[in-house]
Amino acid sequence: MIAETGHYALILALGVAIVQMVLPIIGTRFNDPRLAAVSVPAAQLQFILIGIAFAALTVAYVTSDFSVLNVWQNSHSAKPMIYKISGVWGNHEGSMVLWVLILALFGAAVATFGSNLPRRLRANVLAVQGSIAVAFLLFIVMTSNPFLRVDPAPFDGNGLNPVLQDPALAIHPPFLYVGYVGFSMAFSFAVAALIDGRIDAAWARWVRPWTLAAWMFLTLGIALGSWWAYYELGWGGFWFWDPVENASFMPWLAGTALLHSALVMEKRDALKVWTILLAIITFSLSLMGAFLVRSGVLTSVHAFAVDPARGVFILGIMAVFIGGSFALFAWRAPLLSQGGLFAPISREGALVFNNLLLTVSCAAVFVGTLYPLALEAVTGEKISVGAPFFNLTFVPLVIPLLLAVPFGPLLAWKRGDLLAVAQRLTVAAVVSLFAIIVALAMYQSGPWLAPLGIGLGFWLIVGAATEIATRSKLFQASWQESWRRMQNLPRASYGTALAHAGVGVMVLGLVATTAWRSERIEALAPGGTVDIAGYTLTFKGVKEGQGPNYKELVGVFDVTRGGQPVTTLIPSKRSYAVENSATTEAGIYNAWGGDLYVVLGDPLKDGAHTVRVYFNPLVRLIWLGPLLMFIGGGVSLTDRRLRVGAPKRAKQKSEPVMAPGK
Amino acid sequence: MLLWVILAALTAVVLSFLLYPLVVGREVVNERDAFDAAVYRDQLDEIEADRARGLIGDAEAEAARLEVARRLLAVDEKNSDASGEGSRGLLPRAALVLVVACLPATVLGAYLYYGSPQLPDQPLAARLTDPGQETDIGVLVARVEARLRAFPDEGAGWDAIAPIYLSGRRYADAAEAYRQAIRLLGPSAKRLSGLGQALVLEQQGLVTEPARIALEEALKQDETLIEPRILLAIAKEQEGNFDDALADWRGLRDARQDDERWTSMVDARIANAQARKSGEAPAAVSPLTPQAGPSAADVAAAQNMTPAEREAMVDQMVKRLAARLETNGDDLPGWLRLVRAYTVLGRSEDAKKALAQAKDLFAGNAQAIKQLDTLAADLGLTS
Amino acid sequence: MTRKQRRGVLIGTCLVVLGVAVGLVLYAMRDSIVFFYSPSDIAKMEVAPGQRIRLGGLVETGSVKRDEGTTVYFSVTDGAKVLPVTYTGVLPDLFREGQGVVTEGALMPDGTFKADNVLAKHDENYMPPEVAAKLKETGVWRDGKLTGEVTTQ
Repeated sequence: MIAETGHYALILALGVAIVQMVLPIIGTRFNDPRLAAVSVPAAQLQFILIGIAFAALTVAYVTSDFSVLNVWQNSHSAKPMIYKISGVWGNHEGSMVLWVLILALFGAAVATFGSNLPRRLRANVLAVQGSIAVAFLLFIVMTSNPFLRVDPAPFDGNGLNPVLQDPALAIHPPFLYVGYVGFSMAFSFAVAALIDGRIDAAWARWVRPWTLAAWMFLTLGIALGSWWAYYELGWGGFWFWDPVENASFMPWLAGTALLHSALVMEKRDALKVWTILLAIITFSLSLMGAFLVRSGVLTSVHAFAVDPARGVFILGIMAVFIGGSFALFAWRAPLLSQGGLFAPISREGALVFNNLLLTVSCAAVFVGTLYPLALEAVTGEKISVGAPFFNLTFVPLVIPLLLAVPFGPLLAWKRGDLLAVAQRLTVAAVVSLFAIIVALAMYQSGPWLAPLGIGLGFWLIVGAATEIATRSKLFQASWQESWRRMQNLPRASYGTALAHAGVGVMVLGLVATTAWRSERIEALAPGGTVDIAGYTLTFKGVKEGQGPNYKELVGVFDVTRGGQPVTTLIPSKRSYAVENSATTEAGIYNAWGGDLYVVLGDPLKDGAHTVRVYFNPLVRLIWLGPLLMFIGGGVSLTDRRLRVGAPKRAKQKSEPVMAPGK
Repeated sequence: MLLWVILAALTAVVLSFLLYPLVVGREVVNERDAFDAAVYRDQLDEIEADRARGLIGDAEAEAARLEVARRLLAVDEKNSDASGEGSRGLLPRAALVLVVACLPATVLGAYLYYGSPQLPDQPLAARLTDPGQETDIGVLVARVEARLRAFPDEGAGWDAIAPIYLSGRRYADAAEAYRQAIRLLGPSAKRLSGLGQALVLEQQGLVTEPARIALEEALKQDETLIEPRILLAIAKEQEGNFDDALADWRGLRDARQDDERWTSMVDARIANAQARKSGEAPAAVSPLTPQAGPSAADVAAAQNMTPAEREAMVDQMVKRLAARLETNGDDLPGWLRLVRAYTVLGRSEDAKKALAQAKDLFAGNAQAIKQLDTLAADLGLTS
Repeated sequence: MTRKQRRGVLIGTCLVVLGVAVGLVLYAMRDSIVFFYSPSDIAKMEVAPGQRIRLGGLVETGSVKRDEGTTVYFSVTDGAKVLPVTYTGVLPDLFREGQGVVTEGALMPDGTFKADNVLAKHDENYMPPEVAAKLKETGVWRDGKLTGEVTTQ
């Protein structure tokens, strides 16, 4: 009954979404506020109904109700509880329900907190949001219904792919979806503006926080996915330029551009049409990501099961939304008022430069990801485009962008003084030069570009700090004065600095790990040792273990450094009986200097094993950087200036702040 | 029924909230420009605040202020000539009727097409602890059997149905189900014990070699199990090894000293074994365990016979077995049982002959030869 | 700067960046793309030794051997042709005889394939689509099932 209620709620949500899509548009067209007002309860009800459906599905998973086809296919009674729950979105159908749940959450948020939006804008936005929900709910109900039943019910499920049975992976899809789906808000606002042929002043102010929130979660989601790949796949790598990774990275690049162009639009009333276009592109890339992952055109560890019908359906959704929105853009964009032009050397100019490089590098990733598909479709020839391609294209395009990052926040709006800014950045330049020299001295080996990369990382970090120092007149005014100014700085400034510094931290980690990682592959008999990066590992042998739903072979390695014991690493190979599958669990010793990473390979003669050992210097920074970006985004989001003014509040503005007791 | 009430209530609540704005009308306000103006005023305030904090210079602030002020003025001008003209009445009412008429019908139709309202939830815990709640046992068994025919590799299904077969006296099926469960899920004490019981009961109480192995294995995994101990004690009686059987019975008696019914039952067995050991007529013994039901009764019946009658009955069983193996020799457990039975009956020549025959038959099968040799050694037939 | 000049700078920068990007992509396309071949393709097409390629097929049953150290020898087959492969390192979890595999590396002058990367996907029934397509051509794989010519499992 719970499952059936969930199923009904899902279909009812589809009905409500249709109402939400149709009535408000008619309402704004014929200027009828009552029809337009239906959008608000519709968005809220839609969220509640999908919430009921999602809860019902979760209950089915938690209680192992194998009469639900989806549960039978993707769960197993012997699975630990956390993976029963994460199993809800560990499969195609369930993850789609989570997808629309988040979509509905955003819609409901606009409906609930959007009282300070112009009514027409809100109705149009919610109608567009409703149309996305209609498309995906139809998709779920017709091709990916998680509530289909089996009768008679099986006795046990097929289990969840063991690689997916992992805490980081359990939480990473929800983050990614919040990111992908969050960009639907920017899309809905853009299309709403196009429908009405006008951009309200509130537009950018509303779009920016939503985009920022989506961007934050996408950042963290991608970082979590990369972290998971690092410790779970057992290759010691953190980014593979896998098409599915690219599918999440492209919306991130476009979203980052959108974040910055919306800033120009809000502050300077310029770049309006571009921002609208970018909003459409960003969400289109999110949709394309969904298509690539779910249609089976790509092969990847992340890809869901292949089903041509689904692929065709998503392709249809993509065609309607991307094609439709671009057509609407071509038709209506000329109606929108253009913003003014500005000097090339100015904050706006820097942000345009940022947008240019971000979109072009995004396009390079796009080409690298889709070219093999296109080539195969046209000529039937199969190729793979891997890391070398992206290193040759993406990296050279991004380096000038990163070099320019510290300049941006220091330039004034409208007309900036490049020379003055360069002077302020002297400290940053000196520090990075110093870092380059130190890196050169420390590592004679390794690629010659690597020390420059380290310099770039420090340039970004110190450059970000320079902004705060400059704005608080550090070292120029007295300490007290600077302290007072620091407290007065808007939070958005700190957010910017944190996020930009986060990029620098990430660059440090990326450069150090790629350039100076060491690797050993040895056949080790018990008692054998490997030396790597100053550590000595002694193989003590293997033992067998038993987990909740797997058996494992655990290798034991004593790690010493300079004769002093450091830790004991226990990499293992797990075999899962139910899924008839195996995974490798790396043994990782985390330290700030770098990770020691041990993988137990195949057994050889006489108790020996192939053993692969890595030392990844500074690898932690790769994920610390995005974490800083996430926190920076969060700090910015709390800035009061991101809140939007409303007519009612405007009247109170002239009055003094009311005392609490009054 | 409850499901339909819930669904109807859900629909009603959703419709009433959804369409509430259509019923309660609101005034048309052309407020867009007012919103724009509010945003610009906010921006002006911000510029002023930034200037006051010294974040931007006076000149910069002035330039920004001027620009925002210009936008604000533009809005105010537009505002004055704005007019709101809206359609009245007809549209909302039409929408209301349309939605109320179409939405529930469409949703219900789609649900009936995709959903299975007749199916109850079947959480695993409820199904395992109380399978009878779902439906009567016969239907349940039929459903599981249908399921297992389609998916014979579902260990959990075999595991669930095996005890039901056992208590339903379908011993051959029970033994097969336990075997499948062991193959798919691995040998657990419970499954091995079940397999042993099923095998014994299938042979009307005769503890065959495979049964003995399964029971011993079960006991090795879980010493607290009672059924294997009882059946193994009986096995020893059947082999004529009354000393060991008595030891087992005494151990069993000690295990559950507080239970009056238990001790009296085991005491009876002890008395019986002692009597048989000394060659006397055995006393009547009550059936052992519920599972042992029918065939334990058979055994008890056999024990009620005179020694001569009993010997005749056992003789018959052995003859039947020998005849069957003559026509169909590919039955290792059968041969093992036959050898054992001959030995119990004191016909060691026949036992040796059967052993030799079996070894010939299974010449290529090292496993079988090993089992036969082990048995021969156990029974002292090798010398 | 006049309005016109500003526009010129903007458009100029865009063109420069775009031009550089297109150049990079074209250059990378030529040099860093890896073609996917089956053993039959390699026999037919005379792939130059040393060129990086991906080789896909089934791991021939009974062909996996190890030396004293960490090097593994196995053969990849598509049912028609067989190609011996050497690989030094740790094989993926689901590398099994009779299962699909994709290896990346280059042909040696002696006609063997030296792989520096072996990919086997994380699913028991997984068959890399490239491999499946090639196997379909040679008839070893039909309707998602191996027809048993290659595996004896």
